[in-house]
Amino acid sequence: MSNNNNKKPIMELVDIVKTYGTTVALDHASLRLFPGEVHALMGGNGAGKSTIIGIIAASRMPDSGKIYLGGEEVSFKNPSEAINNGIAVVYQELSILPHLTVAENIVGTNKKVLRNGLYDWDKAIEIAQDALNVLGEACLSIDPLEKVSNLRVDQMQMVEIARAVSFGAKIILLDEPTSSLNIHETESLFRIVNALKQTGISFLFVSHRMNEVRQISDRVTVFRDGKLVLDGKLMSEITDQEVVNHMLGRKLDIVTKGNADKIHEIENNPVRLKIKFTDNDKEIVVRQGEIVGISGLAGSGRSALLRNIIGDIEWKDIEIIYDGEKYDPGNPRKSIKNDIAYIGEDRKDSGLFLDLSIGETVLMPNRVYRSTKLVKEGKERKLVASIIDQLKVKMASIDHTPSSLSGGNQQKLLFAKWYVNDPRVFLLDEPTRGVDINTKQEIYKLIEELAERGAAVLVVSSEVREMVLLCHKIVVLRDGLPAVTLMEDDINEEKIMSVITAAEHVTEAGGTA
Amino acid sequence: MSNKSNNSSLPLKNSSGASRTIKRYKLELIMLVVLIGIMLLLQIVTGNALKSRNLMNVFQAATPIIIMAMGQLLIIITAGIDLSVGSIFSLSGMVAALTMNKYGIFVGVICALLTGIACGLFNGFFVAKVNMAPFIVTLAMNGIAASLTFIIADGNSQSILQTSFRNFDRGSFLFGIPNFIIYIIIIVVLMQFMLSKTVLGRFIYSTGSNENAARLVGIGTSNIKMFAYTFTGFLCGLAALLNASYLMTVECTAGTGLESEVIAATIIGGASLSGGVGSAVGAFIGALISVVIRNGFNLLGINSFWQGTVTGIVIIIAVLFGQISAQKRK
Repeated sequence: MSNNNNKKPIMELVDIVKTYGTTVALDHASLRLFPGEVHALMGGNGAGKSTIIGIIAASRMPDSGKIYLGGEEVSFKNPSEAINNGIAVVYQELSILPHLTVAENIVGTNKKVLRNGLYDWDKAIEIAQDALNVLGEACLSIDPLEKVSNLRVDQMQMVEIARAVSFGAKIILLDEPTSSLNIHETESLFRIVNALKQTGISFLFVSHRMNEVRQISDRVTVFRDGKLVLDGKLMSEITDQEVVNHMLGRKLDIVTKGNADKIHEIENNPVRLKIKFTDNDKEIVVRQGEIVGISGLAGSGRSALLRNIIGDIEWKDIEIIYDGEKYDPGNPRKSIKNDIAYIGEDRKDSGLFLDLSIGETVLMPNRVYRSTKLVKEGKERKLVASIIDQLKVKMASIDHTPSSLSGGNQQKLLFAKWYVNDPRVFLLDEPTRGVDINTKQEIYKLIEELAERGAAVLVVSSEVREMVLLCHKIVVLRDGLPAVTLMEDDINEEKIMSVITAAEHVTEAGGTA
Repeated sequence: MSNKSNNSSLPLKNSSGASRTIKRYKLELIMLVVLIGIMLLLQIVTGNALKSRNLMNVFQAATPIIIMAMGQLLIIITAGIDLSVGSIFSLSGMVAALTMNKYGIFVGVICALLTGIACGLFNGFFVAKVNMAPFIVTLAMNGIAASLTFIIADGNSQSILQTSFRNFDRGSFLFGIPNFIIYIIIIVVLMQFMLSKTVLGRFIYSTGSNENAARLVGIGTSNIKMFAYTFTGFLCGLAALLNASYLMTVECTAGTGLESEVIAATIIGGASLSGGVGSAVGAFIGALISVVIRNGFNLLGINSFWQGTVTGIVIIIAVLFGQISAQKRK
């Protein structure tokens, strides 16, 4: 960890105010970034993180406040001015051009690539390769002439970072860069960040994940409700708990699964779901009231397994015994009719009707479940309002659209969808992706309530900590098949990580990776 | 899960049924005001825009557009598009004339409707089951139907010899109201009811808003798209019959270019090509606006070459309105 006390900040934001209508997004917020540091920016949903990124990138204009770059006051009128002054943003939802090659993406509008006014491909490849080389060995396998849509998500992210480097960025903003990466990809991203840090590039790292912030950052700044509550504290001088308390403004009571007695009690519950894999004769057993975690690397088939159970895809040869009877997955309609609830990993893609009123998202499964024919508006509105109330989803009106809600509240809507019936099985794919710690706790409580009501819950999560907190049992998948089942004392972060990693070694040896 | 707490606090506030309806149909109301405004203006300037004879002409001219716009609307709400409605209209009309002259009115009507349905099924199959882009499938269908029309008619226009077929359009089976107006009312009311009051309607909107999410909550999205295209084909057949009955002659190019008027009507009426938005009342008003503008040109004696320009400007303004009100909602 570097000590920056005697350096001058490369960028300083002072007293930034930004309002949207009557909402104050940033209330005299400040931020100082030093050369060659990784600076974590943390805060709950609605803390103003996205807004400040927008202001640094000049895609949003502050109402008041000053921005200094290298000691001089600046005021960029548009994003391209910010880019030309060495500020690059890698957004959570990547902004690359999927149908173009890696080289074209990295080179972009760089004038150096033009020869006599024409695009020089040799030069483009050279520039791209140079940028990729700076990032280090993780990028060596990326071919500059590959189409970006053929790359993995983590490689796409590398291409974005390479583009920033190639444009001579001095400051790179990473907005939740790890939310779609698995553990290994995260590790390799951090290696890249560390390598670039040595060349003097500063990073602003926005994340919800405390352990990652701890691992990569030199300093941390925390915003709460648009205000600065922790100003660039050295990570070595602060504990995780203190950071979290700053984010929440109060102490967090961590939800934990019941004690050992309770877990033993669950082991006597009747089996609700048994998934037999004909390929290796192993099975996953979920009892009533049990929360079973499905772990493994991204691509190990965690999500596919859930979608296989609801009949959205046909994937592995599995046999399902559901409450003692054989159950053939037909299609999502059949699974809903049979009290199976599913929450997908990408709420915008697979969960929400973003531009229809909130009630439509909440009520749709219920309409399918009950095969209703007519819309009874008054009744439906009351129902939606009471569900929204129970789940404490914050919104101005149920006539608004989900796109007007924050990420955490959008995620809660996904649970609201299943609050009308009483599903016997819940299949949850990354149930807390991209939500703040506070909402995470609320969602954990929700999931435990579901289990306590007797539902069988299958959870897929790439956050190992989340699995440890929630699950009574963890099944690690490899190549789409259950490889190891962890119970009781084996459920801890180290053990899970080692099993996942071991699984990968076996895979590599088998030559299928 | 139970929902005992009915002390639902914030979200329900200040939304009585009536004010909600006004809010929801704000765009449609604005368009209605625009429509009435244009008609009043024409009345003041020309003195005969609101005479029943002229109004009848307007409605007669708008009939095929309104009817086909109801189908087009369904498709556009599911985030699709149908470029073949004009050609299906031509083909169905030609089939009606040819079969009617040989086998009588009843057979002719059935054959025309079946032709429309068959074309719609073709579109629906390739869009919903084969997953091809609606633009491409219906562009192909557009060519196929237009060409088949010429083939079966040998390129000639066909007069309808069954004189009593005239009553299909202009006759009246209810209180002396002309049949074509009754058809319009029935279809628009049914469509509006289906879209706003039935669960099927909600399914149609949700399919267009987010097909993935809709499928995952058990909505048969591909059947819904299949239904939208097939029903549109049926409506094209019906529109062609009304038009044939009115003119008592069918030309090979009867429907050429109609698709753009039909799409324009739904867009002016507030539908969005990205899906999930639109209403039957809106599309109905949208169709009337474009026809009234055309009628205005005739009444004012302005060169009809200007029609396209004015309709184009109206589309742009209508879509701008929609975008502004959508942004306000967010």
